[in-house]
Amino acid sequence: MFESAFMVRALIAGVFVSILLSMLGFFVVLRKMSFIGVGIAHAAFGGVALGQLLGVPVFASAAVFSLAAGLGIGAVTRRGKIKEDTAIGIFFAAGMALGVLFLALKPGYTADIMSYLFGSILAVSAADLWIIGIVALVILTLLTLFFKEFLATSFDAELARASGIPETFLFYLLLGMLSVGIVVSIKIVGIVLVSALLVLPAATARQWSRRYGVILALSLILGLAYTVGGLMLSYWLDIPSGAAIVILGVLVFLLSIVFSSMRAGRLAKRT
Amino acid sequence: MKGKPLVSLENVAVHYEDVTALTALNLDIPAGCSMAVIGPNGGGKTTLLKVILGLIKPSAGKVSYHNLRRSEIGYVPQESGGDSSFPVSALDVALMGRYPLLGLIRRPGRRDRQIARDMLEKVGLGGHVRRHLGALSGGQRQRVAIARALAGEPKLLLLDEPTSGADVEAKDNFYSLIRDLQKELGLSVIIASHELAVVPRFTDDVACMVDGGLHLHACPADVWDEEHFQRIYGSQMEAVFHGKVPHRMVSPHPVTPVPLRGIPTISRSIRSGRKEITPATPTPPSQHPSESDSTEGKD
Repeated sequence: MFESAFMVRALIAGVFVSILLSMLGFFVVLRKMSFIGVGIAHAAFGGVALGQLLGVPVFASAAVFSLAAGLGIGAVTRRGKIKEDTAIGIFFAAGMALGVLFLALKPGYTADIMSYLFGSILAVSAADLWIIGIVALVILTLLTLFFKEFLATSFDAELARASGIPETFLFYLLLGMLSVGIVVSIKIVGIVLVSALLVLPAATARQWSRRYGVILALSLILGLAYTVGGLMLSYWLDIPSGAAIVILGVLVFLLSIVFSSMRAGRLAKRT
Repeated sequence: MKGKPLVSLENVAVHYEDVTALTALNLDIPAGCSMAVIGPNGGGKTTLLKVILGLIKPSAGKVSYHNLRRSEIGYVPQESGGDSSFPVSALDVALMGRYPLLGLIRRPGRRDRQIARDMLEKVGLGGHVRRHLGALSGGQRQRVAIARALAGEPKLLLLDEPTSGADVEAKDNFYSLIRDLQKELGLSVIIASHELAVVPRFTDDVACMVDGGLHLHACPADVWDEEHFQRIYGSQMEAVFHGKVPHRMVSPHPVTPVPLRGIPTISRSIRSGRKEITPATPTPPSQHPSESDSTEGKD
């Protein structure tokens, strides 16, 4: 497996992507805004298709669409007249509709669109690896530097604002990082399934602990395990990498729910 | 002991689209004061606190802070127990009170943790430092919120309806704690509340907010007369007293009379001027006071 250069690139990219999505997903789950990942990822489809139509770098065009969707959903929701789920639904549909339109305008066959939709271990080039690595490094640095502020704003946004923490800036910064983080993860996990990898590690970790430090550490470990395990399954079974990663994550999540319920039952009996 | 004003509001007005929340408000908040902000729902109590905090920008007028940084204002909002499912301990929440002092990027150190622990101790939660927030009762979570506010070493503490939903004993304990902390730490405290019992027992000043305006700013003894109550709560409202302490506002409206002979009532009417606890007699429908929802909800 490691003799194949494409597989080594996919694994390195997978490690970056899993750490990035697990840490972003930690805050997404704490803020109870899991559905936003679906909206941002699907809005990116419009950018992917536009990039292919115009022949410009797909990362750049997808990032523009994702950022517009992420920040747009945030802005519309903050105005208070439209609920978050409604805003996500609108941006989701707009991105997909534009994507379908741009693909229809592109003459000829567009085979690699499937790899963007469902992820492919063959899709990661050396240039992609640099982009994924640099984006992951920048976002992880920002998340680490402002960790306590993101934690406080996730716990109680108004209280954080009242105490002088720049809550609005951090809210849009998180949405911006989420948008770019999702775009660079698309090649590995795919547009359709990237939101699952965003949420699954933290959602599973929450079944095991009520301490945020433990949840974060478990999220990172689980994210790595899903991605590396899923990529290996993809290689051996010749299946789309996104599907393999997410199915592995869902299985662990379901098992965690069962074990966590059993543990809660045992504790209840003791007391 | 009152000192120079920490915050001064001059002709402050707040308008939301077609709603006026505050109108030409002038108010000084002296250092070391304990002030209750009372009034009916929609009177502007919460808006006033949020203007002081800087969460709401006035549409007109000026808010001046004198030797007071924003990080020196502690705030305990309504229903401040926090999301009980959030994966944090009491200590984690109290420690969040230190974040504004640390500034961006810097992590809390040993001293910050010690201060957070000390504040939890002060509010009577020294034995619950490591407990998950969800494992604490509503009243304990309220105390954690106060510990968080105090951990920021505030000069001014703002509490918005801090005891809504608590029972009478819990309220008394809570306000006694606030009074003790105010004296011990030399804080200025503003409590927005519809709990009238708070006013004479725990604060030096009363600010009565009606329709976004400051109807009255006086010491508690000057507030309790019929004219003020009629203007604050409307002419149909009456005060229910516990002993000599006004407890809540009620509005009389017709209900089916119930024979209560021999059971003492604890209420008295300001209009009737009765002051002593007297045996109850069946009350005619038109005079029987019953509790009004309008004074029990949120601002």
